[in-house]
Amino acid sequence: MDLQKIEQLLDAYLEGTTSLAEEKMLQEYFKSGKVAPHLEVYQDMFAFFASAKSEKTSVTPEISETNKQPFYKYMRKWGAVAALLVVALGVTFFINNNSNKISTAEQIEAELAFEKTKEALNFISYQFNSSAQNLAVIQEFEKSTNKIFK
Amino acid sequence: MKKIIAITVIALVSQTLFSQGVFDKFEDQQDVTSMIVTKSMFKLMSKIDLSSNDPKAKEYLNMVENLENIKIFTTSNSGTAAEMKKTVDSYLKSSTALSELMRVSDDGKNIKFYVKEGKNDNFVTELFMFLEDANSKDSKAVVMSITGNIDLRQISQLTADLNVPGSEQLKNIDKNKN
Repeated sequence: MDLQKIEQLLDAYLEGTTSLAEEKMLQEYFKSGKVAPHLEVYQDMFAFFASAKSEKTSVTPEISETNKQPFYKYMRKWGAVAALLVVALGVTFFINNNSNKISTAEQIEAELAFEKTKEALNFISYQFNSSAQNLAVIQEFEKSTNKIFK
Repeated sequence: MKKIIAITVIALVSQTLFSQGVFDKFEDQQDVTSMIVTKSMFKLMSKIDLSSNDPKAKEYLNMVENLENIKIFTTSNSGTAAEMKKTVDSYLKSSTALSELMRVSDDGKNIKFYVKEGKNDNFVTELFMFLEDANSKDSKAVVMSITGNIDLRQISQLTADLNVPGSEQLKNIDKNKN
């Protein structure tokens, strides 16, 4: 592979525009050992990538466990919110349904108070009107004086 | 200087706040009949099942819904009546918002009406009545105070059908104004 092509591919690689096949070509070149001196800095990079591929961990991650734990936390957080919503809705419905009903004891008391209130209002209304009655007399007086003094 | 202003302001404010409580002392007296109905009771009343009695009940209920308080004190004892008169006078003097509406003296009966202005000409926030009757047996003095959003026309209409001539005039008052 000629140097120019390698340099082109390298530039493309550094820009992230290479395909997998092109990257493999670069890898082969840098593995081969016959690397141009000004490209030797990149050799380590590609060597690292090559070896990194073959790395194997000794620890096998336990996938099943990590799935469950977030779920419980998730449940706790949103479950609390959901439970709160349900309780709140239940209470509002309960209150709404009961707000217009009053117990018979309250009904009796309210009726009694209502009667008394009616009496009181009637009383003041009567006093009010009978006092104003005197104003009517004054109006008659005015009318008659107007007749005389016309 | 600021302290003096602050203290006077607080003193004045508390006076208007507690002004209605001036008559509460009559509640405990033996020869005074008192009735006090509060807004919570009015709310209960508006929930009454209306299917029974009066067709006029609806009118009353409409009025009652807008009320805050009704206080009535009646006494048949002339000594207590004099006490009431004194309290009324001092109450009227202390409360600058109450203005005289009507004052009638007839046959030994003295009736005074005072009102506290409401949102417009027809509404009052307080209707206060003091009736003195030296000749009556069981109500020598009556103090009545209604607070809330009161329509004066509605009040007079309640007993308008009792053929009291004055009610006609009152009904025409706002017509003449307009």
